This record gives sequence, C-alpha cells and structure tokens, in this order.
Amino acid sequence: MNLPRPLLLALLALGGAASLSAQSYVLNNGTVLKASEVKLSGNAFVQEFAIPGGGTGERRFLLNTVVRLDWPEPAEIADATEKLAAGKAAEALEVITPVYRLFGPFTKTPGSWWTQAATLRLQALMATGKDGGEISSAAREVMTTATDPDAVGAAKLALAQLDARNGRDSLATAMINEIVTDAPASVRARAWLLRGDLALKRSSFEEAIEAYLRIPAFFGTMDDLMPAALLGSARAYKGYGDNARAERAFLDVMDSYPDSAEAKVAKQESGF
Amino acid sequence: MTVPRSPESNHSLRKQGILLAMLLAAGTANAQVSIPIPNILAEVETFIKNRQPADAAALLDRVIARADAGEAMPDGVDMDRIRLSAASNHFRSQNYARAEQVLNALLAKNPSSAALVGEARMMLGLALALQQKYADAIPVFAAAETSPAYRDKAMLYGAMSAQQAGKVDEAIAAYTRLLSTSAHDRDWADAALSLINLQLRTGDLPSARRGLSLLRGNLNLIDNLAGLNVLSLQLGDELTKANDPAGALTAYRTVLFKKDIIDQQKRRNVRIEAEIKRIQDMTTGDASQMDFVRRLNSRLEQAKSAITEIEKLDNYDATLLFRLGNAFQLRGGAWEASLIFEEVISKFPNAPEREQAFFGLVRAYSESGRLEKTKLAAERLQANYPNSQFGAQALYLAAVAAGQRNDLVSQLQFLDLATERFRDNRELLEPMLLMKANALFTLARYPEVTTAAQEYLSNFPQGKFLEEAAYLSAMAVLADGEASAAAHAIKTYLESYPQGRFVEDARYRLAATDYAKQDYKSALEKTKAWLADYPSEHPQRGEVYSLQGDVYSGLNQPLDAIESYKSALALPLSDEQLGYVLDELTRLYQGQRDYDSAVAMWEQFAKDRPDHPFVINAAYWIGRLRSREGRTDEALAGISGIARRYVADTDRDSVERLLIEVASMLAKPPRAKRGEPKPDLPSLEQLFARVDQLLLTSDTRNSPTAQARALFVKSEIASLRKDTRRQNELLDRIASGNAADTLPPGILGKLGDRMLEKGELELAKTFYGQIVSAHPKSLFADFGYVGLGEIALREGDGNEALRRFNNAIDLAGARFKLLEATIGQAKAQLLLGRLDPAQELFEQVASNRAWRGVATAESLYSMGEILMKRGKPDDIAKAQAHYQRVYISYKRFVPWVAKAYLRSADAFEALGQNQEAANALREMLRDERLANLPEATVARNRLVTLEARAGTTTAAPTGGNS
Repeated sequence: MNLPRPLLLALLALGGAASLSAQSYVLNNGTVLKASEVKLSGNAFVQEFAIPGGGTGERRFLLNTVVRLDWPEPAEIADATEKLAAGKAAEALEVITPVYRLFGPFTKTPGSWWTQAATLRLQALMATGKDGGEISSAAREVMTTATDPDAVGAAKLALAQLDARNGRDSLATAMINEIVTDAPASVRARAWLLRGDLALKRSSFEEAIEAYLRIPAFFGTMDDLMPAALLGSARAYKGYGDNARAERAFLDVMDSYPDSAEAKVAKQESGF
Repeated sequence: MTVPRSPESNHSLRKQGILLAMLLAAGTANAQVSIPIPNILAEVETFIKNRQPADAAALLDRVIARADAGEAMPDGVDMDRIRLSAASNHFRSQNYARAEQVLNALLAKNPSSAALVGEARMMLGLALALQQKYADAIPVFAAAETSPAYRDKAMLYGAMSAQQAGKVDEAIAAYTRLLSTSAHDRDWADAALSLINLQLRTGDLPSARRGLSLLRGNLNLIDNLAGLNVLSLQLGDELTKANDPAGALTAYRTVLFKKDIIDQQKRRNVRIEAEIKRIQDMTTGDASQMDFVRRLNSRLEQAKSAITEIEKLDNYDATLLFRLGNAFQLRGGAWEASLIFEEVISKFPNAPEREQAFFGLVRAYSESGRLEKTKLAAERLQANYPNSQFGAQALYLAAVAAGQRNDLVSQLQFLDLATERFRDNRELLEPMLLMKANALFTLARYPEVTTAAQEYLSNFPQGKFLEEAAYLSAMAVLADGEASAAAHAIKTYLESYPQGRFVEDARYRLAATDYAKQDYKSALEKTKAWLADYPSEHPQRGEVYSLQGDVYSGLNQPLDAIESYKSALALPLSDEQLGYVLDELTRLYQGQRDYDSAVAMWEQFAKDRPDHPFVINAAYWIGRLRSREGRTDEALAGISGIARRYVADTDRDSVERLLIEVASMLAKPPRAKRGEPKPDLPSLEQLFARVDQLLLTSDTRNSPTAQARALFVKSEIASLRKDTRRQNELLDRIASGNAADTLPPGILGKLGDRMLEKGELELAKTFYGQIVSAHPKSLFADFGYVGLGEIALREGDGNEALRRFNNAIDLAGARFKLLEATIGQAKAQLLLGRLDPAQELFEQVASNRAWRGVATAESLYSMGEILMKRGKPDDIAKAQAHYQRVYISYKRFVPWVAKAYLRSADAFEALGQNQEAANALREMLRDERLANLPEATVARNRLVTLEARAGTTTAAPTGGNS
C-alpha cells in the first residue's frame, strides 16, 4: 500500500470520530466510492476487489474525477475550534492538521472541509506563536486556494497580524487597508482592531480611537470583539488625554463583559 | 399519534377495502349492515397513510357512535385513543368544531392516562384558538401546562391566545413565564419577539429593552430576523423618545444592515421551508406540530414580505446609520457618532439624512473636542448645503466648541459668519451676539466688546441677556484702563439694576476704579462698606480684602495692608489671587525686614496645604529668604525638606522646579566670610554627595523615581558648572537605567530632547509618548507633544506633526515650548503644502521680539522658501530680501546663514540677476565660519558654473580668506 504516512494518520485519527459509512467520494460518472473502501495512492484512489475464483484485483480512480464529497462535518473541526477558544492552540493544531491533510487533494471540491480545516490550522499556528515562515505559507495557501471570502479575509488578516508581530507595521497597515475595503464583516471588524493596536503602538491616539470604535459603531452585534475594542479605546483615550472617556470605556469593559480577560486588564490599568 | 392497529393482516384488509368502501358509501340507509370494528380501524389506518384525514375521521366518528350506542368494542380497542385519533384527524382536516366536540366528550370522561389528557387538552386548546375562541382556549392551555410533555407549548399557545383575545397583561405574564423556564429554542425566540412586541405596545420599554438584550445573544434561534429588525427599530425610536439613548443604542445595534439582513433572512427562509417540508412529509404528527407548520408558514410569509419591503428601501442603511449615530451622540459617544455620520455622508450622497448627518458631525466633533475637524465639518455643511436649516446651529456649535478649547479667534470667525449669514435666526442670534462680546472680552479687544454689546442691545432691546450685555460693556471699559468711564458705566449699571446679578461685583469694581484713580480714601470707604454689607461667607470677600490691602499699600500703611492681606489669605481665593496675596505679603514683610514672618507664612502655608501647587513657591521663598540672610544651609534644608516629600512621586511634576533651585544653590560658589580666604569651590563629586544627602532618605533611596531625580539635579549642577559632557553622561544614565513609567514628566521631557539631539528617535519617542499618555495634564506636557511633532516632521508626516504641535498649544498650553510648537506648526503646514497658514505662522514667530534669535532666522528663511514656492517674480524678489535679512541681521546663526546665501543666489538667478547671484556666493565663501559646511562646496560649484556662463574667469574664493 502506498498510502502516505500523514494521510494514514489522518484516516486513523478520523476513524474514531466520524462515521466512515457516511463518508464517500462522488465521481464524475456518478460512481460513489466509500472512503472506507479506497486507499489513496499517488493521484488516484485504489479499490481492491476480489477476483472470482480467488485472488484480488485493484481498480484505480483518478482524484481529478472526484466531483463531490458526501462527508459530514468532521468532529475535529468543532474540537479544534473549542480548543482554540480555550487557548489550547498546540492541541488544536494537533487535532486539525490531519483533517487539513486529508482534504488536501480536494481544496475546491464541493463538500470538502479543507477550507475550514486550513483556516483553523492557520489560526492555531498563529496562536502557538509558530515560526513566521510556516504561518506565512499557511496564510498564502488559504489566500490562493480558498474561495470562501471569510477564509481568504482571515488569511489576509493573519498575514497582517504576523507583520505587526514582527514590527513590519507598514506592511501590516497595507494589508489591513486591503481587508477593510473588501473583506466580509467579521474579518473587517478584526482588521480594525489590529489597526487600532498598530496606531496605539505608535501613539497615534486619535487614529487608534477611531479604529477601535468602529467595532461598537458598525459591528455592534459582534460581542466577541467588543471587550478588546473597548479596552483599546480606553487606552487610546488615555493617551489622547481624554481621561473621562478613558474611565468610561474601562468601566464599560468591566461592567458589560465582566468575565472577559479584558475586564481584568481594564481593572488593573484603570485602578478601579 | 397513531391509530391502534387491528391484529389482522394488511393483506386481508386490502382485499376487503373495496367492499368496505361500497358499504360505507351506502351510508345509514343500510344501517343493518354492521362492519366489524377491526376492519374499520384498518381502513382508518389506510386513509391516514394516504393522507386522507377527513375520511379517517369520518370512520372513527362511526366507531365512536357505535361505542356510544352501547356496542361492545373488540378486545384491545381503547376508546379514549379512538376519540383522540378522531379529534386529531378532524383537526388535520381543519374541522376544528368537530375536533372540539370530540375532545370535550373525551375529557368529560376523565381518561386515566395523563399523557392522553395532556395531548387532548393541547389539541382542544388549538382547536378553540383556530376557531378564534381565544378566551375559551386560555384556560384549556393553562390546564395543559400540567402535562410535562406539553408544558412549554401550552404556555406558548396560552400566551398567544391571550394576546389574540386582547388580554395583553395575561399574555405578557404567560410569555414571561414561558421565557423564564423553557429551553432556548426557536419557539422561545419567537415568543420573546411576541413579548417584546407586547411590551412595546404597552409602553413597558425597560422590559422590552431587557428582552431584546436577551435575544441579542440568541440571534441564531430567530426565524424572523426581519421582524426582529422592525421591532428593534421601533423600540429604538421609542427609547430615543423616552430619553433612554443607551437603550435605543442597544436596540439599534441589533438591527442588521440591508445586505446582511437580506442574506441572513434568505438563508433562514430556506431552512424554514425545509423544516415545513419535513413536518408535512410526516404521515402522523400531533396537533401542535401541525400548528407549528402553520406558524412556520406564517413566519416565513412575514419574513418574505419584510425582505421584499426592505429590498425596495434604497435608504434603509442610511436611515439605520443615522439613528445609530444619533443614539451614540445622545449617549455621549461623540467619537462613535462622528464615525457613523462620516459614513452616512460618504456612502449615501443622495440620502435625505445626509444634511442632518453633516450637522450631527459638527456636533460630534465639537463634543469630542476636535476643533479642527469641527471647523471643517461646519465648512463642509456650508459648502454642501448652503441654505441648510442646520447651518446656524452648526456654526453656533462650532463656536461653542472653539470657546471650550479656548480658541477664541476661531470662535469669533464662526460667530461672525453665523451672525452675518443667519441674521434671521433670532433664536440663535441672541446668544451668539452675547457670546461674541464675551469672546472679544476674553481676547482683551475691549473697544470691540462695547460695539458688540451695543449690537446686542439694539437687536434685542427686550432680550434675555440685557443685564449681561450692559455689565460686560462696563467691564470692558474698566479693563481697557478707562477708570473714570468705567466708574460711570458701573454706576449706570447699578442704577439700572439695583437688584441685579452683578451688584456685589459692581460695587467691588467701583472701589477698584477709585483705586485705579488713586482715590484711595474713597476706595477704602467702598471696601469697608462692601465688607460691612455682605456676609462673611461671601465668595468675593477675600478679593475685596485683597483690594483693601492694595489700597492700604497705596496709602503707605504697610501694617494695615499686611492685616488686610492676611484676612484675604484666610478666605477662599482663586489660585491667581492667592499667589498675588502671598507675593504681596512677602514683599511687605521684606520691606519691613521681617523675614521670619515671611518664612513663617510660607511654612504655615506648606503645612496647611501640603498638596497645593504653591508649596513649591513656598519652598522657593523659604530658600530665597534664608539664602538672602546668608543661611544657605537652612535654605537648602527648607527646600529639600519639601522636595523630599514628593521626590518618589512621578505625578508631582512641579518638584522639578525645586530641584532646579536646589541645583542652582549648590552650584553657586560659596561666599567668603569676612576676613577669611575665599573657600575652595567644592568638586562635582562633593556636590553630588550633597544631593544624595539632601534628597534621598531611607524611604526613597530605593525608589527609581527618586534616584532619577537625584541624577537630574546632578546633571543640572554639571550644566551650571558648564560641564556639558558630564551633564549628558548623567542624562544618558537616567535614560538607560530607568523605565519611562518611573520618570516624572519634567525629566522625561529633558531626556526626550537629549535623545532627539542624539538622533535616537525610538527612545525619544518612548519618553515623549510617556508624557502624553501618562501625564497629559502635566506642566511639562508640551515637551511630549512638541517632541512627537518634531519626530513626525523628521518622518515626513505633516498631518501627524501638525496635530502634535496643535496639541502642545491647545491641550498642554505650551508653557515651556510655545516657540517650538508654533514654529513646528509652521513647518508642518509647509510640509503639507499649505503656504498661507505656514507663512502666517512664520511671520508670527519672526515678529515676536521675545523669540528673537535662531527661530527668527529660521522663520525668515522659511518665509523666503514659501515665497520661492509661490514663484512669481515679485514673490522671488521678496524671498531674496528675506534671505538677505538672514545673512545680514542674523549672522550668529551660521547654519541658517549658509542656507540663506545659497537660496539668495537661487533667487537672484531666478530673477535673471546672475551677477548678483555670483556676488552673493562670493560673499558667502569669504565667510570663514562657513568654509567647512557642505553648503560651501555647493556654493563653489555654483559659482564656477555662473562664472563660466558669464564668461568671467575670476577664481572662486576657497574660503577662510575674508
């Protein structure tokens, strides 16, 4: 069997999580191949069959004949999402990487979970503080391969975050400018947050306030971003010299999002 | 719900089907024919499977009738189930009346199965509700609530029935019960929407607001997002009307923008349609499922129609944004409001809200204290809507904002424009005219105050501010130094308004006019009368005592003056007056050679008001007075004693002033005692040890702030001893050994300047940034703003630089760096290509005598540059004159002289005066101070070119041979 080791691991990992019977590949001639009955070999799936009278034979199905995947959402996607949210980035990466590889040959095929897996993998890489090169190539892969605007936007944002993290602020700003013009709302909102962070870093307080406050002004339903936006605005107000507004923003984070990490920071920084 | 199966096989049933149908068709005419019950029940099941509930119900009615007639039912046939099944099929075939009848009969028999009873009650309630017998349905659903399986649904339908029956309170109570106990699912979300709707209708806005907040966290459960949008908008509007902008904001923020709502609702519609199909595909299904389909259909229909309406609204987003902006504005979110109004203006050029958005923008910028943007927004409103109904209000607001930022020149510009353009707006004209008079007064343009006050009085002879205008006019005359005229005006005021708001102040000012006229006797009488007439707690009493002190001083009665000032000192005074009284007392005590009283006064002050900024003055005077007596050690002990209190506190920025005094006293050569040889000058090391002794105690020795301050004093001593190397070394030591947040703003400013000079921009930025972020209100805040402005200039960011320099003046008051901030503004404007304001600012610097020096040279040179950019021959000739002024009148400032010579030659050349250009360059090269500057090399090369062009061969001077 020529199954590459990573793919084998991926299949093994998936075996326990999802119902293999529900996982199948649909070919352009209507043939449905159950995932459990084929193995990947080079650019084709190989299906073994018994020869009447004894022995076995092999049928090969080229990967480029797969037109659709009938595949329920792999449990690893939810698992990795949860782990990421809980700050367990390394574990999330370990969980999602096999899925990302499994769907690697079908990046654009309908029913494939590659985009979701690749995006999660990218987020996990960012959160683990991995090597910039690996993050950068993961982001570029999503940007060039995925068709989902959310995924492409998230990848662009990851690149901007990477640039910002490495002190390449002008490159980060250029990417952010691109994102805020054409990305979907959730990515745009995150890009404004990053833009606020960059402006705050260089003590451009007015610009920082305006960037952070775009979240409550235009993305008011995105509660997950609100604590960071309010905390950023409080810091920027303070720098700008508007202590009354800074105080109000600190209190806003503490009162409206008392369980957030930002509320704790706000408490420390404001001295309340 | 399924019909009980007969034990017979389906096969035999099918065989009998046709016969059975024929028999049934015969009806009651063949009553003697009795079909076996199991056969009927089998056929019922077939009808159900074939989705023929009416037929099934008819057969079941027959079974019921036979049972009611006393026929014994075969074993295993449960009549309660048969009745329930009959009702269910009647219900499915929409024969609700018959369903009701069957269910009532069933429930009257008190069936033993609680589950069956629950189902029957639910179905009965629904049957009643669907016949619009809502009031009857309410108790039935209430009874069904006892069934665990139907509890939530019974509550939901009960609430819906109460709502339909017009029993709003009952409906609200039922919905509230349901929402607090049932699982959060799509029915729950729908119930929440209904509840909010009812609360909105009954005006219970707080509850509606709470409900909406709850829904915000569960948006994924809502089928009818469009409905939520509509409700949220309505609630937002109601809360705005009810003066609850925070609530309105919460409501509006739930509303999705057009594209989002359409996309999301369409996705949800697909989901609803799939669900409807799934339920409809079920052959059986209880009544509540059937009703769920009906409700889903209704939600779908409502959502679709709402989406159709939204799609038609071109202005949907603009309206929503405008409401959001307004709510932010009302809630004090001026920054958010400005972002939103800018969005409305830029994205919706044809929206009717755009004009109002411009006005909102002016307000938002004004309320967030951004004067430049306020001005621009007011101008943009004028340009876009010259006849806007909001024009006057916008200018008025811009004027108010300018006044708040103390930019009185801009305030007057707005007021002039508004009072000229919108003279018909009497409501605003009145306060604007008075505001104008006030602004002129503050700007000390006193003669114009009188004119402005007169303008007010003539326009509004019955106006609200007549008294203010009259008094302001009198005060302008007084402030203009016209004591007699002022006295007359004040007397006129007192006659016109004997009970007026300013009588007490007027009587005090009248005494002041006597004092100004040196009529001390009358002034004394007036102050005595004032003090006798007004109570001891009158806030102006201290001021009057202070005037009385002045009067006694004028009468040369220093002891009385001291008593009056001491009385003033014991009363509330503004800081300005307090400083004056303390200084006058110090002066008078010194005149009496009563140093101990003066020192005692300052010591008492420092003790009584340890946190007052004048404590530093106290330390200064104690030191000064003791030092004058030759008691330097005592003086140092006094000053350092006060300085030590605050030496570890970064926020006590005035400590640096004391430290400079300490440095200056220590650095002074010691006095020789009479008859003794002049003592040796102490070494720096000795002085530094003394600094540590004076400033660092066991409490503060380990404080980085205190240590940095001690180093700062040492650097100042080194500077006074002209040891620049040591001074810089010490400053560098502070910079490298201390985190910015451990340093007070005065030292941060010094370090920032030092790092800027060394070209270490990042470090300089850190120090300056720390000042503006952590100490924006400090005495030394302008060091931070100016420093950051300089860095922005070096980085070529004109906008940022201008903002920083503006802040140095507007926010920090430019106590130390007004010159640097002004010249910085000019350079930033020049960098931005705004020649007019740049020229105006450079002229301001060049014409200020107090600033005469390198700044003048730079300004003259830059004015030349501006004129060169303008490029007309006349401008170039003027530029040439400016350059010439630099190298003739400001020779000391070598770098500017070199630049000016070169540009002077450029100007001559541009004017076609090559000979003069060559002469200028020769003159430059004769100045040996310039010989090693890069400009000298440029000049030599240029001269060669010029001479070659002219055909002359005179050798260019090589410099140094003047």
